[in-house]
Amino acid sequence: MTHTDSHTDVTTPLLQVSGLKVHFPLRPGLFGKPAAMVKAVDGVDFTVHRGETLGLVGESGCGKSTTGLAVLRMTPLTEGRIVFDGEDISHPDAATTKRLRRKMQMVYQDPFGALNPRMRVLDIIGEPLRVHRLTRTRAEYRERVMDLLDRVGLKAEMADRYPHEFSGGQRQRIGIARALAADPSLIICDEPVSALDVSIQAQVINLLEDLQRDLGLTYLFVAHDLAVVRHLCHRIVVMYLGRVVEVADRERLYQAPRHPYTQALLGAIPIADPDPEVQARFNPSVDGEVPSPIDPPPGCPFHPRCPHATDLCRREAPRPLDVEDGHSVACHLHDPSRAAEMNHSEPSYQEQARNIA
Amino acid sequence: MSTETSTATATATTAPRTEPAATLLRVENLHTVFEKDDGVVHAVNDVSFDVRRGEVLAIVGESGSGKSITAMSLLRLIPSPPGQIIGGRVLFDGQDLLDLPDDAIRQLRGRDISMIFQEPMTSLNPSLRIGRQLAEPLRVHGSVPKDKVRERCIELLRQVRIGDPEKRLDAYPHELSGGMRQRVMIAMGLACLPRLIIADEPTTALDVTVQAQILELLRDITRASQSSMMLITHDLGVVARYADRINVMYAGRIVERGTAHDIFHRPRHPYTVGLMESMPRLNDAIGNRLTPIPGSPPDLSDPPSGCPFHPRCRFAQPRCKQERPPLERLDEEHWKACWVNLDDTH
Amino acid sequence: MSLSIQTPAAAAPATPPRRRAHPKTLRFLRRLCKERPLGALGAMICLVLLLTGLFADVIAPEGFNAINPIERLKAPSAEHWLGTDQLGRDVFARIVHGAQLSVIVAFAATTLSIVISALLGILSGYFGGRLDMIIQRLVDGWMCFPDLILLIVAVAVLGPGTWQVILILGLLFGISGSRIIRGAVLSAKQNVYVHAAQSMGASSPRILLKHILPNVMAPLIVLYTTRLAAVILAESGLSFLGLGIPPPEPSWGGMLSLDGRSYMFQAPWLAIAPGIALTVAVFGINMFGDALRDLLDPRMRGGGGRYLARVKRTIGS
Ligand SMILES: Nc1ncnc2c1ncn2[C@@H]1O[C@H](COP(=O)(O)OP(=O)(O)OP(=O)(O)O)[C@@H](O)[C@H]1O
Ligand SMILES: Nc1ncnc2c1ncn2[C@@H]1O[C@H](COP(=O)(O)OP(=O)(O)O)[C@@H](O)[C@H]1O
Ligand code: SF4
Ligand code: SF4
Ligand SMILES: [Mg+2]
Ligand SMILES: [Mg+2]
Repeated sequence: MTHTDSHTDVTTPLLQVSGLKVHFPLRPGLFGKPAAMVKAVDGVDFTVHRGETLGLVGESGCGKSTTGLAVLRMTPLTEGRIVFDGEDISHPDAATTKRLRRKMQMVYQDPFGALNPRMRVLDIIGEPLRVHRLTRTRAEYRERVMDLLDRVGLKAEMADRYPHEFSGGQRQRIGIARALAADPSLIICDEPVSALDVSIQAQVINLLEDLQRDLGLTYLFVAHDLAVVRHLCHRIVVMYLGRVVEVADRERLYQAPRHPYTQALLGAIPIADPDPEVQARFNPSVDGEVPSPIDPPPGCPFHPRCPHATDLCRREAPRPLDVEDGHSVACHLHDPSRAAEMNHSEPSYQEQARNIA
Repeated sequence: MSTETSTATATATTAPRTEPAATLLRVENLHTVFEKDDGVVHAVNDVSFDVRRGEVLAIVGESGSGKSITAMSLLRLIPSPPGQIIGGRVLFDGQDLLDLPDDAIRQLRGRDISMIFQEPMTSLNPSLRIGRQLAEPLRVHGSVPKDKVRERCIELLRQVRIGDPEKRLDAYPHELSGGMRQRVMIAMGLACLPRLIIADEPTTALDVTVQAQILELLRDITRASQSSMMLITHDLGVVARYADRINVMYAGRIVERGTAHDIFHRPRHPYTVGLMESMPRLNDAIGNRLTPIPGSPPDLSDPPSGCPFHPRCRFAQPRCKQERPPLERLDEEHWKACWVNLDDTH
Repeated sequence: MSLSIQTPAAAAPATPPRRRAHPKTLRFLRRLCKERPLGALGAMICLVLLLTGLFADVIAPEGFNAINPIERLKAPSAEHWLGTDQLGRDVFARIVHGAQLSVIVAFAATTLSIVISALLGILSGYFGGRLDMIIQRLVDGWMCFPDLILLIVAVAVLGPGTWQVILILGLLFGISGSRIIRGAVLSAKQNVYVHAAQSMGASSPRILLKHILPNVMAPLIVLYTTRLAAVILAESGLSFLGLGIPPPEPSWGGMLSLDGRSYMFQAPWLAIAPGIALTVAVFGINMFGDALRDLLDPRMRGGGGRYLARVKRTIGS
């Protein structure tokens, strides 16, 4: 189940997204132009390497799912370029789309809605096999589904049951098996564990890890739970209001977050340990809520909530810059050429970083 | 509710006991069931606990473990039919709430005990202005003179840190963000200075940064007013930060109770231990493998025999299948319902 | 009775004999009797209706049109079970033969209307966009005219007769019903599993067949049964206005409204007999339809306690 038919060698990234914008018309008008646009994704760049798990985190409505759907080419691009396996898929033709529908698969959040209640598990898991005609005989088809069931830790006799007979965790396993059926090289997981209880969540997290190890899968993992993301993702992209604010590997992101939003996000997560010492790290430093993506604030999108905001931030949006190798931040505080304009005495992010770490 | 009469006769003979000063609410052997086509669901089964003055008492458990039904039973908010409270006592100030006449309990709801619900979107009436809804409990309980109501509403909104409260009074719920709606819910809950606030997953629908704001606010306010809070949640992080004492529920029963320190550092029930091991944390070592609890929670209309946790328990013994362990005291504050004595090494 | 149609794509060349079809039907019937006794009753009524229509000549061979002036307006007796009408025709024979006519008209018109509804609704709902807009404006336009006017105009143009009635009722009900199907398609399209099928590259026909249609089945069945009843009533209305099935064909509607009304006090059985026949037929069809809708949903099958509890809980609380 390894992907042998790649176009290019294994050193090129599996997926490259640059300058991605997805805008939705607000209440599409019958005639002429819609009144306003929802800027769901407004300039996003990232890269997914083969065999890794890239986390996409941020608060509700920041454009995580939309980014995932854009990569899957299930939503039209407004702007930007997506390169998958060495091939530009920004404007795919029918044949390319068909191929993509096989090479990328999705796992959904809602274990109750993602499976057709009127189909047997056998037909749910096997649907990609049918759609792409990957098995020739009925026996081969059944055998393949049995393999998949086994892979995700379900019993063979469950194949003939209907989804409603399964618990949330089992349904999520069925969804994962379906995603594996067509032998994809990228799996987009949109909050696959957030609807599950803690004890079940751990089962699914372990399953995702095992599958990655055994099958060499690559995941784009969309989530809002930073503890789960820290556990599962090798590198993490933090989004805010349709943009990427910070990209780093997990060690660096959780030890020394640079962007004020990342710091705020990490500081706001209650830690499951009542020790006063541990609780001292809890530091919900931001007020207010995420503004509307219909009318995002000018300049840095985070400035209305940022404790370090200056006039420059209100005026001009920061560009993502590498602060270290593989760690990029979009904040004027970290742009040496803007140091003069960011006339803060001493950026307190370092203190905060230390607090959180 | 059809239960009222039956519980009334059952408890009328028992004279109300005087409570120790520290106890505000005592729940004894609460039992709530739902009649369904395919059987009876014992949503809350023989649950006892107390809430002390000024403390934050948490109830944690997975979805369907009976947390919300416990809370709703206390205020007799169980939809009936199909629900029914078939046993137990809920003593508030020495008075059995299950025994009170309907209008007395209605008076008590919102005035002495108020409840903040899970879903901020549906708990507010979308067609009424915030001011109207906020004034409702004040008007019902007549706790503020009529001409002072508006003033008190503004004060309440200010207390929950909603900016520009005069203007917000005239807003409709859909004009507010999720966090603001939840703040309004809290303001409504606080309107009559209740002695007990029951918060059922007050932040589950909200983002973490907003969750932090709301929970800090709730705690600060209850502390300042010296009222007590029953915090219901499935989020162990929230529990660790805000709870003084914790009840762990599983399949409609309390399986362990203790201080936050007991539960997180010296868990003694295999289910609690399992929860701790299956949770990814921000402060554990990267690359650690999680240890999930196998299987899934039981169907409450057909619970397992003996200990309800036995099909998933790695410490299970033959005895666990037959006999259900009672909730027993380990030390001053720590209780557990398990036949096996675990120590820190598990 | 299964809704999950096997696609031939992946089936082996040597398809195993379909032995399962028979037990499946039996199992369905058993569930119908056990879980939906009223539905079973409805099914029986439908069956009786159908058989009566098919074997009308065997059941009442004397003929529904044998005029016998001596036997005018006779009350029900051993000879004439349901009495006779003003021309001395046997009411029972007319009811039986009316069943034949009603069955033909009702089923034909309803089937036509459902096909039109489904076609318009699915095209409009699933493909959306400009097509949807055009279809919806046309439907709007059509629905602007009162039904009665449309009927009168259509009959004036086409002339009265059985197939004209079928055509016009089918169109009328079909177009107005398309709204309901469109709504059902739109909500079915929201299902995450439809998104999942799209994202794995399933073709539109496949998605329509396997994921959308089963969801539209329930409203289609409800629509079919309510329309069946409505068509029977509408046909009687038309006949009453002299725009429906022309006499002497024995349509229930005609009997109820023409003879029944004129002799309501002299010979009440003239109205009561077709009235009861209509009521029982409509009741039976509706009961069977309801049962069918519920039984075809696998979520209603046993063993789904937890899922259902969860669904109910999320909806209820
Ligand atoms: N089809 C659409 N039409 C209009 N607006 C949309 C559409 N899809 C998404 N949006 C808007 O785009 C923004 C980003 O949505 P998206 O679903 O990507 O957020 P998300 O980060 O996945 O949030 P969540 O954590 O709640 O899932 C939101 O404001 C959302 O309302
Ligand atoms: N209206 C109802 N009808 C039937 N069963 C119910 C109803 N409400 C809750 N239950 C059942 O009661 C149990 C406990 O539910 P609840 O207290 O809401 O759980 P939670 O711990 O998630 O708050 C569940 O098994 C649920 O299925
Ligand atoms: S650019 Fe300015 S406003 Fe934005 S995060 Fe950095 S300091 Fe804050
Ligand atoms: S009583 Fe037995 S089965 Fe139950 S938790 Fe304890 S050891 Fe496990
Ligand atoms: Mg999302
Ligand atoms: Mg609940």
